[in-house]
Parts: sequence; structure tokens; C-alpha cells
Amino acid sequence: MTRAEFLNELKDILQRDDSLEPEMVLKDLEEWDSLSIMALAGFFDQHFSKILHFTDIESFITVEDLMIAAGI
Amino acid sequence: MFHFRPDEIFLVTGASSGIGKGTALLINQAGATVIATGRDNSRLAALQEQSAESNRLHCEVKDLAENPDSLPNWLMDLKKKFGKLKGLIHCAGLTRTEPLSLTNYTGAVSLFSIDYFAPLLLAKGFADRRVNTGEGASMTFIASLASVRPDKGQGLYGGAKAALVNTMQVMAKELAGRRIRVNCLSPGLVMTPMAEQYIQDYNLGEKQKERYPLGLGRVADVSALAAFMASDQARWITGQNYILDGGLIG
Repeated sequence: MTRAEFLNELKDILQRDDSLEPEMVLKDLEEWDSLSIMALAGFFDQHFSKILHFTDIESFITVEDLMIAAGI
Repeated sequence: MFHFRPDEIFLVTGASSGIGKGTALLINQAGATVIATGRDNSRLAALQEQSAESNRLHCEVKDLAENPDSLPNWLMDLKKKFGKLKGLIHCAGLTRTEPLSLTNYTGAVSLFSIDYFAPLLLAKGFADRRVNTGEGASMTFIASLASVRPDKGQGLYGGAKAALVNTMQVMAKELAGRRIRVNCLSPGLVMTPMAEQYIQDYNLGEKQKERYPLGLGRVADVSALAAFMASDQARWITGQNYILDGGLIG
């Protein structure tokens, strides 16, 4: 998965109209809630075979951190 | 009495007859904009003719069981066409009486497609923030009395409806944080065209009537509660499965 594809997938997971940028702070996003974090954990498992716990995801600061965790 | 605004848009499935039709007309009359869906174009056209507010009643032909996985995108398309949805009132369904001896996998999947998978994927589409209006939005599913008290021959139908009720409770928990409510209504025998056919096919007329102390249900008995559940007056109600059965015992 490319970084651009990742950003697009993340936009859908967050059910967001506007596009995302790597430097955006996750907690500042209106769509960032517990349900989104749960969906994101499933996404990492399905696409990157990585098990991330709720607290792991909560510790990420920016969108870039998520991409680093995904290894892209 | 409940009132709706014209900018409150509701998707009503199964709107070409029975409970769906009654509910679509009721909330349309109470001020809402309604997207009425069904499989039959001519019956939807008849519905539009019956509406006193037909400029706020839009018809969309759709077979929900054809490809349930396409339903989230279909809801996104409806949102682009009409605007964000305030509510989903899912009335489409199919009943089939079939004892265990006649049950097979293919038939089971077919029944689950319309009675469980279609509402599941509609809910997924509706729950998307880009589709619903957020706080105050709601989903109401017509389940069935068979979801909690199935009769002989209702193994599959009751199973699909019980699965729907169970999943509805999960949705209610998941979406409460966004102030979106999710509920089921579970009516007993209501005199809809589908039920009349069922009674006729199985020669159940007098036998069924005797079981209901308040008599058989009417469409209006269910549509009134569906409209209330869709209104802001029901703001504190979620995760519930309301039984409407005229006092049925046994």
C-alpha cells in the first residue's frame, strides 16, 4: 500500500469528507473517537497483519505516526 | 403528536406496501422528506399519488437483497442526491414458514439476505458520518415477534430477526457516543398484504385471531410507533426491541 492509498483508506475509516495530510494531529480531528480507533485496529490487522491495542493507537500523535506503524 | 421539518430526510425501505407504506405516508404527512424504496416501480408510483405532500416524497426502486455489499455505497449516493439522512426506517422483509425438515442452506441464505444481511449493510451505510445528520439521527428496524417468540416453522425467519435484534443492540452501543439511536419494533400478526397471503396460504385465519386478545394488528398500530421512534421525542430511547402483539399469550 502506498502512502497516498493509506491516506485514502484512513479517510474512509474516519468517514471524513476532507483529505488528510501526514502532519495532521489525530486528536484534533473531529472524527477521531473510540469507534474510529476500533476500526483502525481492524484495518491494521487486515492489511498489515499487525495487532495494535487501543492504547497503542491512542499513543500515536500524527497521521504520519500511523504510517510509520504500518511500515510505509 | 410528532412533527418533522422538511429538511429532516428519512429513508423508508419496503415502502411500496404494508408497514413501510403506512410509515412513509405518516411521517411525510407529519412534515418530513421521505425517500421511499421498494422493488416495484408501479406500487411506488401509487404511493406517491397517495401522498398529500408528494413534493417531499421521492421514490427509489431498489432490490435490497440483490447485493447487500453495495448498500453502503447506495446510501452514499442517496445522500449526494438528497442530502444527509436524519433516519432509516427499515421495513422491507420476507416471511417464510418452513419446518426444519424442509430447511436447506441455499434457502436459508436467501431469507437471511433480505431479513438480516440487507438491514446490516444498510445500517453500515447509514452509520457513516458522511451519510447521517449526526446527533439525533436514528435507525428503526421492523423485526418481528418471531425474534423473541417464534412459532413452529419460523426457525429461519425467527433466527434472522433475532440476529437483527441482537446486532441492533451492538449498533446502539457503538453509535451512542455520536448520539445516534437504534431500535427494533417487533410486531405480531399485522394485517398487511404479506400477512394476509401468509394466513391464506396456511389457512390460519380464525386460529390466529383467537390468539390475540386485542385482535390482529393494523398497519397504523406499528407505523405510529415507528414515527415516534424516528422523532426527537424518542431521544432517550436506544437499544430497545418493542413488542407489539395485542396481548398475545402463548
